[in-house]
Amino acid sequence: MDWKEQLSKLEQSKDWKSAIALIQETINQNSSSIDAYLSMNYLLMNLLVEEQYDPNGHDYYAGLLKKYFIESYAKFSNNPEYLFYIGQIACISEWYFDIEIEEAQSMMKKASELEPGSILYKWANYSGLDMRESSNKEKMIVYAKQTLSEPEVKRELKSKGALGKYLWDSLEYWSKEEITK
Amino acid sequence: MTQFSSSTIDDAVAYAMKNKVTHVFGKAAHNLDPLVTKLGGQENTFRAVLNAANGKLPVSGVFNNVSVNVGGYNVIIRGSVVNGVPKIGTMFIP
Repeated sequence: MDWKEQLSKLEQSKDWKSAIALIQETINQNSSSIDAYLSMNYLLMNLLVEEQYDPNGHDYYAGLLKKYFIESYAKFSNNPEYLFYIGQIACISEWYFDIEIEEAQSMMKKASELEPGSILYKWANYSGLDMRESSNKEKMIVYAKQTLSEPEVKRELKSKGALGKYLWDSLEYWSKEEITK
Repeated sequence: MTQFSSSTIDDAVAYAMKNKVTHVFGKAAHNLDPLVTKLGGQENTFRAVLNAANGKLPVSGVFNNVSVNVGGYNVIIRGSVVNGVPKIGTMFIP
């Protein structure tokens, strides 16, 4: 079983400490693994924002997240894959990265500029739209439907584990909005 | 007692409607659909929750698991007060 399969099992059982230890070990063995760094950033962001944990652990987890963000950004800030995903993670709660939301959006925009052929990275064009405007919602719905219909996107997001599922679910949410609104 | 002016709440709603709609309302586990339906939309929901939290949030920095009652629902919010503006990171009905 590779580290991604192990991680998936630990995430499903919400064994966060073991999951963090597993990714730390993976990074120690391969410090150039973008996937390992993205997994760590997403796991910690999701833990802090979405999961139940001992409140006494908040500052520790927040510090660890910032450490891995700074460390990974220093290594991969010119890599479009990294920039797209880290921008998405940052947008969940950008204050944990000590950045403004516009900086998170800029990361995604840079990814799209570096790899203009990627439909997934074009998500940057729809980040930060004011969803009080129905025309903006329509744009996002159309984009989500187009993106979900690309087999390559499904493969790409599946390879990203929980982070990929989060983004896939987000696209599905928008693709269904037209029906419900 | 309130801590944020109506104009600051407007800023917080605008921020949320630009940046947090997907995360907050896109996760089925947040159980927010009944509240959104009851209040007539996402913007109204953000505004009602922020108004209910007005006076319960820190002056600055992260807040976690702040509980507010909106439309008969108990809503838990997490986020941060940044430059005097309350920013919602997530909210859910447990």
